[in-house]
Amino acid sequence: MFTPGGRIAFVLQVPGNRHDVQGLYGLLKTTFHGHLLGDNAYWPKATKREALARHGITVTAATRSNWKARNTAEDKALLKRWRGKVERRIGLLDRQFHAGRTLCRSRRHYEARRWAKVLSHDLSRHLNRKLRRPAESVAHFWLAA
Amino acid sequence: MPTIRETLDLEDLVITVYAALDDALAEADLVTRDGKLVPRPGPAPEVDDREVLCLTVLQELLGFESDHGFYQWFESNAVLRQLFPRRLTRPNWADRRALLTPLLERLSEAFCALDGEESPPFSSSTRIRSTSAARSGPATRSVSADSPNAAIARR
Repeated sequence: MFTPGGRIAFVLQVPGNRHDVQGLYGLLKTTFHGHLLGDNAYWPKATKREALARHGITVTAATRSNWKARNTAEDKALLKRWRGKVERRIGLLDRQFHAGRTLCRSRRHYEARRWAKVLSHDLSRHLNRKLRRPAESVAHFWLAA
Repeated sequence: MPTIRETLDLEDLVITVYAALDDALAEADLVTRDGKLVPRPGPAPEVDDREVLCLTVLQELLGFESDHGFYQWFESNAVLRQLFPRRLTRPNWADRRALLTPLLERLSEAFCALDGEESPPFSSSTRIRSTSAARSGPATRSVSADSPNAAIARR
């Protein structure tokens, strides 16, 4: 979960072989409430919708091409505007901190390394602000080594 | 801490990271007791938890994908050997890192707080008014919160 300033507020781990929407259902076990923007894999099933609404989680998701129902033009514009921003941040986390692939020997170590990546991400942004460097740059840290 | 546009060397970087982590620990109200950030039984560890934390962050910050690669570099680097004279074996270091996992979460939150970031849900300048379309319904119809199929209520 990225903050508007590009920090990572929290991470929800879902096994890689599960469907994307399981990440949305996983939010029910957290204190998160707010609005989630997602692609067409984030449509909740009917039985979960009430629980999500009770939890204060709202969703705007893209519709599938074979559905009769369509999003409004406003929703489409909203998704288009935000998707790029969110995916860019996820891409940076993958590229700069190898978040796409985590080498480890057990689940315990996996979780530790994932959180270490998150902490390093937030710390790098914090240091860049202090050092007056570009907010998302990590090249100067690599050069130091 | 180095100032504007100065080039960081490795020693500066390690000290800067260590100092920043110290700030975050203070922000999160975490204190070290006998070299332990996470309370546990046993004597004071030879290597302070803060050193383990600093090395953990350095590994990810410097882009080392594997523990083995990082530890080889760490063992062969004169600057780091001088800064961290007491070293754990690689498996022990990985175990200590796993022990600090809850702390990593809290420190991440502390950095968000230090940088003035909000906690979710975030206020947005973008008005998120409508809900997405429901699964069923005419092709041209968009769905409001009144829909029985409203995935989700209007905010």
